[in-house]
Amino acid sequence: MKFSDVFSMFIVLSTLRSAVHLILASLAGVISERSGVVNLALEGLLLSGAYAAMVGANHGGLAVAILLALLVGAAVSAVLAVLVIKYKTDQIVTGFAFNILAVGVTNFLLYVMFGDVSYSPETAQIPWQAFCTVAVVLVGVAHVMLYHTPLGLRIRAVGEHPRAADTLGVNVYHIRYLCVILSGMLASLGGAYLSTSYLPYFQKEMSAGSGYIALAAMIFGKWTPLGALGASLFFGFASALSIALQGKTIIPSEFFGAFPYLLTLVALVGVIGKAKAPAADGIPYDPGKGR
Amino acid sequence: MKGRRLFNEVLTSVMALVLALVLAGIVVAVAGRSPVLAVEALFRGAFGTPDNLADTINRTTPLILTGLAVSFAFRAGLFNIGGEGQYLVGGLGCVWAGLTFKTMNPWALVPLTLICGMLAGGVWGGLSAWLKSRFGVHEVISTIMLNWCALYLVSFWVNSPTSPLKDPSGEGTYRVPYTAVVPSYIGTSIYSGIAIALVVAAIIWFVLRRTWLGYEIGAAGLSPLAAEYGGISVPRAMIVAMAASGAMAALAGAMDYSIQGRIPSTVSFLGKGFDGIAVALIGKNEPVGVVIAALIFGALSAGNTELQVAANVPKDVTTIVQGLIIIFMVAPDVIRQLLPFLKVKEA
Repeated sequence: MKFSDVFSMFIVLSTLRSAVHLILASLAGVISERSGVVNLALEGLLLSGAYAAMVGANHGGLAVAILLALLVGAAVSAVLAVLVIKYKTDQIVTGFAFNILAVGVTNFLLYVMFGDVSYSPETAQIPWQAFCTVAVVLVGVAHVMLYHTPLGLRIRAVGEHPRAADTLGVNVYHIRYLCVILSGMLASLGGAYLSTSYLPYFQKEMSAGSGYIALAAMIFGKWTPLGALGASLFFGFASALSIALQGKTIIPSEFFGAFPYLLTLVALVGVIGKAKAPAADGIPYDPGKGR
Repeated sequence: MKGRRLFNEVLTSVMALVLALVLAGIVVAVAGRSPVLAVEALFRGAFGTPDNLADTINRTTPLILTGLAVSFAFRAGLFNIGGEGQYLVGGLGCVWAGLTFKTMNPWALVPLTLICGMLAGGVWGGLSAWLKSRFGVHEVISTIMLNWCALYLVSFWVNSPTSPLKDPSGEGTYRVPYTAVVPSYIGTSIYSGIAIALVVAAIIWFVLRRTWLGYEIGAAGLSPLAAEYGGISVPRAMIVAMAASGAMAALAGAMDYSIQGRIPSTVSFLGKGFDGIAVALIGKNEPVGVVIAALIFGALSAGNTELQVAANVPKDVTTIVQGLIIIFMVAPDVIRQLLPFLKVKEA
């Protein structure tokens, strides 16, 4: 292993390329969880966004691909929002069920629409740099929105102490619906990146756990947009490194694969500063109850 | 009163199952395939021939165990999404023992391999409960992270050139000797794992109903503060429950890989641990319910093959059914609104 193996232009570009969908999906997690709703469906949203974008790209071009992905993301997360906000279902189990459904539905559609069990036809490709720029800009926008606008203050208030926010006239439910749907659109956009930019086709179960890594990045980034960006880049770096160092080092490649997950556990245990979730994260709001 | 509650519980489960199947049927119809043909194919594939029936039973076995694993952890108030990882390390422990002690008498070797698998899974599961009680790490996050760690750990043992278990052919680990394989019943292709799974279900039922440990775990799950006040060590109850849960999911993996003879080089999540969540929800966390639910899912999964061949319906439709079932089970209010007559039964 040489120094130039680790710090080269190749690694920098490869890091960015493998981080774009993580940035978008972890940002999606931040937006949802700051308002107090755990979004475990990131994985499923990535997958359905990827599928929708591929269909759009095949039937109308790249602009349609993005629009369709955003639309599907909004629709899927709206259903999720109704279940967890209105019906107060368990957010974790519900999000988990959505991930299973996304796998079933995309595989089903892939076979029915294209007669293939693993791959879709090839689509046109959006340059990854464009996606990357948009992702980073969105992180900036989210940061400004969360910390420097009245809406952001409301979102954070709803996530920390919904009852207090409610008392001051903030509609807890509206804020949460907004955030979950925004979150769905962001994650779905991350999915669009996978199928129209990272690869020029949809592949069965192509999100391959990225949604869970995004969740890890969100935690590691302490539930902030900038933190999530940093953590996503870091995880992207880990995966770029594992590709670049394959066969060049005694460290097994499996170690790099497990690295983001190990690191998240370490972060949660508090070795790298305590990672603390928003106080009302995961708790349905019921005006009649004590909280 | 009790009978009525039981009736309601069973009714919700049945309704969730029926609704999910009907919705999936609509999806199949919209896709231009025949739902009738699909149901027929599914039944034939699951029960049509003695071989298909054996397949159903063999697929039910791991689901009973992963379902029990999830439901046992639920009783302690923990949501074990880590079944996938525990299943994998269970397989690794079992194959490792099978290869290491291969000269042993089969009467000792088979139990030993299964115990080694269960130990690995027990540690894997207990770890997340310990992280929760010691550091306040939410078990859902830690089990998800540990799933991936397990995947890479097992992949390392199976594929790394430095691994002592790796078969030079590259097909996976070395094959365990046939003396280490869980046997099938003579004259059938039904593996004896089903008996083990049913015994485990009976043990769990007994532990939950008749023992101090079951009481402690239930109390810790229902109200940790009250349990602590009553002199129960909640961290201990959580760790014991989660270790047992992990061991059960691992036993499923151990038996599956034992029958397969090796861990193949394509190490991946097989979904058995995740299926256990749906099984536990449908079975309402009761051992008897879990066994019935596992049989339903086992049949669905065995019938799958026929589904694709005979009705030209992609087998993923059963995955859709599963997702829908979970949603309906966590949202009983949605069912009640869709089917208003159920409201009357609310006692």
